[in-house]
Amino acid sequence: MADANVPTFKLVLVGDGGTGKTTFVKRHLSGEFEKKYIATVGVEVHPLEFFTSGGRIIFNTWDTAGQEKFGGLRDGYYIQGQCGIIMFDVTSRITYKNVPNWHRDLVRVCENIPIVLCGNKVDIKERKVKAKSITFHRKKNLQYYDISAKSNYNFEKPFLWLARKLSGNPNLEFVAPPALQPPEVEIDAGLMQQYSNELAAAAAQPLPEEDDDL
Amino acid sequence: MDQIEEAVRCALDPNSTPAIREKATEFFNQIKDSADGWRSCLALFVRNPPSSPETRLFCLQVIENVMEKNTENLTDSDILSIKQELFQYVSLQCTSEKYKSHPQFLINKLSHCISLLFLNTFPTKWPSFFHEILGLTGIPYRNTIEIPPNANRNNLFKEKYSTTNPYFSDFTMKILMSIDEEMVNPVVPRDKAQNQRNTLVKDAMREEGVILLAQWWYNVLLFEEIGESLVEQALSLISVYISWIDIKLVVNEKFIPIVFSYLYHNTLCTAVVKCLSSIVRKGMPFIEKLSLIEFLNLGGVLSQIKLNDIELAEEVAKLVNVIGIELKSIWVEGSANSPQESIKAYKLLENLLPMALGFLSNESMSVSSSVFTMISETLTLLKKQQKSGVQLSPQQTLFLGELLQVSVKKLQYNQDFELGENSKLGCINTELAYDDDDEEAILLNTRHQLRQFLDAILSLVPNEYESYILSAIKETYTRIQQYGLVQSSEKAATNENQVTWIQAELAIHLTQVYIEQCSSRGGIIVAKQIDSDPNVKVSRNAIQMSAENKSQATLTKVGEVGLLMVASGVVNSRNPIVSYFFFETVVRISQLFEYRPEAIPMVLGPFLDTRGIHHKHKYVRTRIWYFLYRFIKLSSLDHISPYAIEIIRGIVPLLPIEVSVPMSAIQAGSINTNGYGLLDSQLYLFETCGIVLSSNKIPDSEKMTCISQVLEPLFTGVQSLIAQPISKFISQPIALLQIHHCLVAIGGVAQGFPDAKSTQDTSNIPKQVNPHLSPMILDALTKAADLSIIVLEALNNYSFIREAVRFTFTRLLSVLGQGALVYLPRLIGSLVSLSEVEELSDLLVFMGLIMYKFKPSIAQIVSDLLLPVIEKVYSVLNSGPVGGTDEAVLLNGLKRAYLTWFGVIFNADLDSIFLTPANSPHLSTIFQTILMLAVDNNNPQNQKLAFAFIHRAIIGWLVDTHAQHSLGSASLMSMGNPGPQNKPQAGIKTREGVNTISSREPKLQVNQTILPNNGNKTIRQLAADCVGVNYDSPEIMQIRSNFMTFVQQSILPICFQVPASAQFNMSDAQSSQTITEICGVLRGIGLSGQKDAINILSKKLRSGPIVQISPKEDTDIQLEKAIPQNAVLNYIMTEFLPGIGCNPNSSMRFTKALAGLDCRQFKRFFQEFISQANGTR
Repeated sequence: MADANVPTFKLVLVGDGGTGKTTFVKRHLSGEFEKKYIATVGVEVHPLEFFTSGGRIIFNTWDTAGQEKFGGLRDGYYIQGQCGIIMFDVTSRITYKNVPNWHRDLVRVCENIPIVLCGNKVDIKERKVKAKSITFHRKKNLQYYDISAKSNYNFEKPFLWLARKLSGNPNLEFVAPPALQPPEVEIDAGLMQQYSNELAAAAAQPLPEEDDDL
Repeated sequence: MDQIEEAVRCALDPNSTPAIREKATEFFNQIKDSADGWRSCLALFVRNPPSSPETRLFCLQVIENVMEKNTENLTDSDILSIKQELFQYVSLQCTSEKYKSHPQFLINKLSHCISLLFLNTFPTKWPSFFHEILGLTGIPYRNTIEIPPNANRNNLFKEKYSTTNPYFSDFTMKILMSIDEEMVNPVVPRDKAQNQRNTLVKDAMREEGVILLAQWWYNVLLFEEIGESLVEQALSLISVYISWIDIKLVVNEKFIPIVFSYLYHNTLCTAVVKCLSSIVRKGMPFIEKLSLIEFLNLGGVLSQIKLNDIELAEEVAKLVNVIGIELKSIWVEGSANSPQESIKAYKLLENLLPMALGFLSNESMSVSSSVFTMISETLTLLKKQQKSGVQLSPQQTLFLGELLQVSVKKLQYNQDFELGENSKLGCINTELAYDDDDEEAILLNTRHQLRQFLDAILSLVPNEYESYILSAIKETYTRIQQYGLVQSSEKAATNENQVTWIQAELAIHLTQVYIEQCSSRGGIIVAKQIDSDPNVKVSRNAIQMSAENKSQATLTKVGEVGLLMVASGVVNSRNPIVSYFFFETVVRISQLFEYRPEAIPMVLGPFLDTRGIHHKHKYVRTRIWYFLYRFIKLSSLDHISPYAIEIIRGIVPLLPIEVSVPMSAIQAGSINTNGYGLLDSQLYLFETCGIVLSSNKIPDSEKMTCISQVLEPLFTGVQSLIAQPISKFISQPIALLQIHHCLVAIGGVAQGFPDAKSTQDTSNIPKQVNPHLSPMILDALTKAADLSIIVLEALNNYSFIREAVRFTFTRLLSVLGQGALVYLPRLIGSLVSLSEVEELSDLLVFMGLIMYKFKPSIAQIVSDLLLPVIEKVYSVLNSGPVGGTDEAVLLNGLKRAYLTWFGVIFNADLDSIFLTPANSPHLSTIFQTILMLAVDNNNPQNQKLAFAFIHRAIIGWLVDTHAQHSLGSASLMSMGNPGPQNKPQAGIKTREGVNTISSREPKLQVNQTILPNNGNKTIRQLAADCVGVNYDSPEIMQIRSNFMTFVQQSILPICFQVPASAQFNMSDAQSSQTITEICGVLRGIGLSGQKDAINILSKKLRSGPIVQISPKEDTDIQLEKAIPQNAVLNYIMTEFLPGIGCNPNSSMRFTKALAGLDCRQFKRFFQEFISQANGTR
């Protein structure tokens, strides 16, 4: 991935423990939803690649530990961050309440970087942080998105917004199926075709006798 | 120290192994946790030569950590040494060019560190903080610089500012900003101790610190040449400090002109405007606020600023907004006792309005939306004024007219707007946040705001409003009729009278607004009754009106506008947004077609072709499917029947089943959120077909054709696939999805048919029969049921197949009624055996509905099912700690479904199933699960359900021992509820169109009533017969006695423990309901020992006292006599209460209250009793 010609940006991903940062990042890599919660230790760096109308772009995503005891260098990891995502969990008020702290820590180390605030887990019906009460981003000129790592809802939105800000091109679009179609799953598209062929074949078969009682 | 540097390097090195990074993390934690880790970090931070910036950042982090979280571990000398070292460092490093060699993040971190140090040392340990810091900036701060009238400004400044240290001045600005963030900034969460400390610091600062700061700021601002950056930072500091410092320090004759002088500065004016907004916003008594606004006289000043860039315009708009809001509050507060101020405030506000309207009409949304609040406040003011009897002045009416015009114009879409293929239109989901970046979402939000303005204007000047809006709407529709529409954005209009899509859309939107405004009360009214009092309006429930009368009825204005819209041809627009809103509006005014059935073809035609359900825009097309469904459902079948064949013919090409969701999504469990793609929308079409086919006016031969066109492909789709060997499904899982989809589609069709009705036969057992089904349909549905069962039995390993069968059967049961009963044992058996946690909740709901519908007929099946279900739920509830929020939510849902299911068993009069020989031995296990939920204070909703269940079990088994009353609404706390023989409360809502299948599961319609008990058996008794429970048998008596013991030993104590617990919140509404149920439990327990208990259950007495008191005698004496005769009350008074620590007096008091008060009084008593008990602890 470390292609010297591809614009690469350091993206810092922060937020309380258990809000789904790692799950979110891994959606890009594996396309699968992580059901089990395992706390991140220190930081894990994932290069996430997107195809935009202006060419390829890589977000070197620093997925930092939300839990204090696993924090490691904490804001030390933010150094030279070029953009950020702050995540909270819309089913847990405290994680939204802590957003200002994460924001403060982040901008102290990375001044004037584009930051997206993401409310994760909007698929869950028992939403505690209602859309109306999410106002922090307005005060601080951040972009806000509801997301759901589980259902991929708005997955690419934060990245697209950051890509537009970083490239200075407000009309930038993601071309090609990004992210969520990693190589293995791209084969799935072929499989899908195969599936429907098989289906057509199956449907064309004559009905067996024993189905008379249907 | 070297270790620290090395660890930081490892932690940041992308090539480090996870093990090394983990080790580094551990090491960092050790340093932070150790008592003097900060010492090495402090030493390392100030070391010369310096270590790497990353290492120094970490050092500061450790120092911050100790100052924020472990201050109790620091001695005074520790703090002083930190101060000493750090201050020495900044005095050397931040006062010269070296300052610039620091990375910005270190400077920020360092200033934050200093601010934490300040909060820990000021004023006691570091009283000279401000003198030391400001002294190093070299800018005078002990007084403001005065310019004598004849002085040479340049020379004076040269002298006064000669010592300015730009580096440390910048650093000081950062420290001061950081102090605000730590101490005042309202978005930062703080605990109580921090707030107390901050208050002390602020008080100390008010003595001298802030005065020095204000002088320093003044001196910075006075000398423009000092640099934009410093001026801007000073202005920002004033903006945040002004909220808590004496306003006179800044707002005075000397200071304000200096601030104003930067209003005309190219780059700094935005900062000035922001600063002024903060000043105006500062809290103070309204009279002072008024003088402040007068003093600033911003109206005049602002109108002179050239608003050439959007950012500045937005800030000025925000300032105007703030002033407007403040003036309105002054008006409100003044109108009570200072009319002078009130008048002044209004005058000032009125002067601002032209500017506000200007901003509102600004093309940029961010500018326009900035004044929303002050405009809506102004409208509120006008409404209040009008309400108090003061008429609108001509200027006010004029303003409203202008506002109306600007608002209507603002409602328009942007010319270049194009609807994306996947955009969702028309619904701002209040749950989901809208996307600031999305043009469509912004417009929707704006429309929502503007709508409030329109509503206010309507209420203020109704006539002017109506005539303006109606003429705007009619003008557009008429123009479309005469000149047509401009069909593409590129092609210029051939005639300027032609209507663009934007105008067309606006007309439809205004039509919707008008309809909604006219129907805010009592539904949409499209026509007035003919030949009668014109004031009597006919609403949609006046169905009695004959068809002929209806067609002659005069239309209301809403009806007229609606008809004009339909007839105008606006539907011919090729813009998807116009199509969408046209059909949406048609659905809203569907009642119109009852009065004007001749207009039905005008909408059905477009509905069925490429303007409607075959629209080229994917999203709009599928939404129109839903609109068609709503339209058909809301229309009278008689009016639709003539077009039945056409409708089916139009729909059929859209019905082929396509699997559009990958198998992996289903396995990942994301279906609940995302649905099944196209199928979800197709279901509306399938249901539409069902509705149309249920008409009895279609000739049989044509009906046959239609049925086979709609249903046969689905049957074949299933049959062809189910026939293959099971092993094949593993290699081609898509076949499973295909089967799933076909089944669900069949359920969709069935959903269109009317429900079976409840009747009774000689055995008195209610039966579900459907008289509306023609034999042809009956055949088809029976085939569907057979097919579903076969699929289920073959493939019940797959959860989504189970889900599909559940969906389809729910509906088939409703339609077929009694005829479907034969399937139930096989159906339920297959569903329960393999059910996973996720679907257990849904399954319980499904079971609940079946029980409610079939009651005694299903008693044995439910009885057999009880233990397996409980076992399953029990194992899930006990499966250890919860992993994350997702799991917790799932589990909570299951608990709720479980409790609700128990409730439904009681509602369905099937409580006897707990008493069967097979189930009764497990009664205490069952109740253990209930108790577990009853004591869980973290979930008041489930807690309430648990107590409600216990409450009813006690009534059912210990009071009404022979099942003479239905338990459906049985409560000893019901205040004015209907008696037991009345209609049960059907907690089941009628279905509504919702997108995903899981939430769109068809609901059984409950329309039967419990049959009167005319000497015949009650349904509870019938159910008991069905499962072989004899209420007088020794076995049942034994069960009752065991249950009584259980109640006394296990239930009675928690009735006190739960509300007395510290986590139980008495004032919470949900908890209050729990208390109600607990009181019901207590009353039930008391009643169980009463001889005439069963009488209390009669309608009149069930909310009254347990012991009947005669008014003739003294109440206390009667109670003292009655309690010993009631073994249970006696036990409570003499054994139980003393056992939990009550003295004899309060035991007596409690028992008397329980025996002698009605339910309402007892609840009040109980709450006080618990609070007192808590208070004395």
